Amino acid sequence: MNRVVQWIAGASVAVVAITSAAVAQEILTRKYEPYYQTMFPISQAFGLEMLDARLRVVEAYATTPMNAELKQHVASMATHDLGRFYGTLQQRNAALATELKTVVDAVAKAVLDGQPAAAMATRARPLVANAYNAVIDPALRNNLQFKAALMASMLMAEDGVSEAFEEAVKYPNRQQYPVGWGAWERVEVLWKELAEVATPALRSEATLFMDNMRKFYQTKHLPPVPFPEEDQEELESLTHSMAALLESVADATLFVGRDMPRVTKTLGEVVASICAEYAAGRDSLATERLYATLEHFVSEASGVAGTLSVLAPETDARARLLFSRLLVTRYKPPAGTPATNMSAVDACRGLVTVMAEANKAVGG
Amino acid sequence: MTVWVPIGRVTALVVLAAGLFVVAPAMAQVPTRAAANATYRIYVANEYNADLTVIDTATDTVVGTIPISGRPGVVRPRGMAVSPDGTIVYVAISDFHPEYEVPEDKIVAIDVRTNQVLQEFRAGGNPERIAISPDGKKVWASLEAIAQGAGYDIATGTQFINFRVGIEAEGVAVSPDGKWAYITAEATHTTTVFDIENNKILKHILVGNRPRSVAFSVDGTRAYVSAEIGGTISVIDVTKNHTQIASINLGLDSRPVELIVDPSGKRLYVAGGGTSAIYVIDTATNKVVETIKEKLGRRPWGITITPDGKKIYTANGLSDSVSVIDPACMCVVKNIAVGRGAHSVQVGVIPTL
Repeated sequence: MNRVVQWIAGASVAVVAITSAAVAQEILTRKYEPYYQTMFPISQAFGLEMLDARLRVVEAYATTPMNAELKQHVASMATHDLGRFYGTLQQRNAALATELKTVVDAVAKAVLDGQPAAAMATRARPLVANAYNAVIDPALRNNLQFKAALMASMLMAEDGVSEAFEEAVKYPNRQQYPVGWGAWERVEVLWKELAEVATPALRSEATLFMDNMRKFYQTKHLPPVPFPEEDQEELESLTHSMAALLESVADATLFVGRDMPRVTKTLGEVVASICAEYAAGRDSLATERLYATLEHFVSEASGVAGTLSVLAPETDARARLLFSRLLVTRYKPPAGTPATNMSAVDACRGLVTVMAEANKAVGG
Repeated sequence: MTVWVPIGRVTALVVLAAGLFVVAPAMAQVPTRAAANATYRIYVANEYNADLTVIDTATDTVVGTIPISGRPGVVRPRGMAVSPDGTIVYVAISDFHPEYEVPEDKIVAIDVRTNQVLQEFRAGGNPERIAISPDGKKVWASLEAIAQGAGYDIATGTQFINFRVGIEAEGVAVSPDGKWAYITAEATHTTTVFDIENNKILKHILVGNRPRSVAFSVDGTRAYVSAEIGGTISVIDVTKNHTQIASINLGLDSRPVELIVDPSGKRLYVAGGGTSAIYVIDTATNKVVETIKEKLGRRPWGITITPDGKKIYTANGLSDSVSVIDPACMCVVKNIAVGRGAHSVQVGVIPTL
């Protein structure tokens, strides 16, 4: 989806649309709200999961050359993934944080340089496991709602099961597939754990969804051309169905975009607190929290960024500029847009304004 | 009688159905003014078979198959619409690679009386769903991959306008007075209101989460938008600047997708794709009065009703079937095997003198 969002933002809008927010939308909710209650740990866990997934891709490609695109995808572990939890890891275990960052940076560099990296990846993975234990409280890690939310992110977030496959199939970017495969492997594990508490009816339905999704990820390496299953929309539909089923399993709201005013209001408050971290010079902590914020801003589960691209395109454009000033992200302005040189604090404060505008645009 | 009819680069096997033509103008989507003794044909778009199944409603048996492409699993027929008099069924055809426009990205018109292809025209993007203007002269389509809506002149087979809508455009409907085209967008949770007379976007409306389909009331004063993830139906007052005035709660597990208003205007039937249910809503109270699940096929997506209001048909994507529902008993009376990936269903009318 993100490429389409970018395409829309980049194109000149020829029509002036009067926007209108829902005025009578009934918001249905469940008992638990993990994305609100544990927003940062879910993002941290997602980063840890995806880091491990990318390291497994490096291992899987020990003797198979990667092309330039796959190298870029894998190397993003040093920014997208590590950035989601590095600040907290630094606080809790500085030595481990340094050791992990050193090896991840080395793996990323080796991958980009076309040098052997599999052995380093293998050495890094236990460090990731240690980091997981340091960053995520064990009790939380075993919490049903947390696990369901993490699995939903693995299914629907950028680089997750659905989005990675969409990139691989719909666009000339086949090398995104192995990253999706890495996410899929973890989804399989998470579901086995969650299935133990699901009712027989939900388990049966989930088995069908999982079986159908598995057809899209039959091999860890790139499948032959064309892909055995090319209907990305079917996979997207399955991931959404599975996430909806997880909502039932955990009695937890996972599609936070049902309540846009609340999401945007919450993100505004979160960003304001992040600005304080930037102002205090705690950039790593601010970065990981901003990654969590960005996730909620652009994800399939929220849809805020996409909605803004229609209802308030100027706000969407400014959000792209400011987020990309602060993070390494694919949610960025169209190519050719001049980069901003404003300070991190000012960029962050700009995002507070963006969130307020977003809240207004969606009827908050 | 069986003949081969060319459709683009491929050749299609068509089973001809006999019948005569009587003009019976009515609103778009469901030909509501049924001719006396008219014969109805149900057309089912089989997404993965690249063909259409034709069902005779008198016997609820399959009477023919219309191949759309020789590339099943690659080329897919999805959304369909029917002309106001019910005699022409239009089919949106695309493939799984929306980033490239291919010859199969097109709209095909099929004569219900003969099952022959009357016309086909380039879509200019991959069309997912379509609607016909009340005068029968224009087709409106959602071009999913490029986030656009588009209008086509049937007489010339040309696209006369395209415009930006939300991301992953899907549902399309034209108001009974022909003034408005509504297009939903899954990923942006919006419905775009296009002013047909003035050829411009009037507004974008934030509706329920993941809007799939839209349908107008018979009198045109209301539009109903299903929200698959939201579990709601947004009710929009067309007469009050297209403002959402109510939200019908179907439940978080309802997964509503396509919806259709019955010819009397009193009932709204909603397909609950992910939960294999049909929700029946009283349009006067906006309350669910019945939920039909027993014997229903799996993942009902498309839904239509005959112009006389006596039968409802659902296209069930996971069970490759069509369920026949009797509105009198609110029950499934038959399931009919069709092609793989039944997506949409429409009713065509063969008028009888």
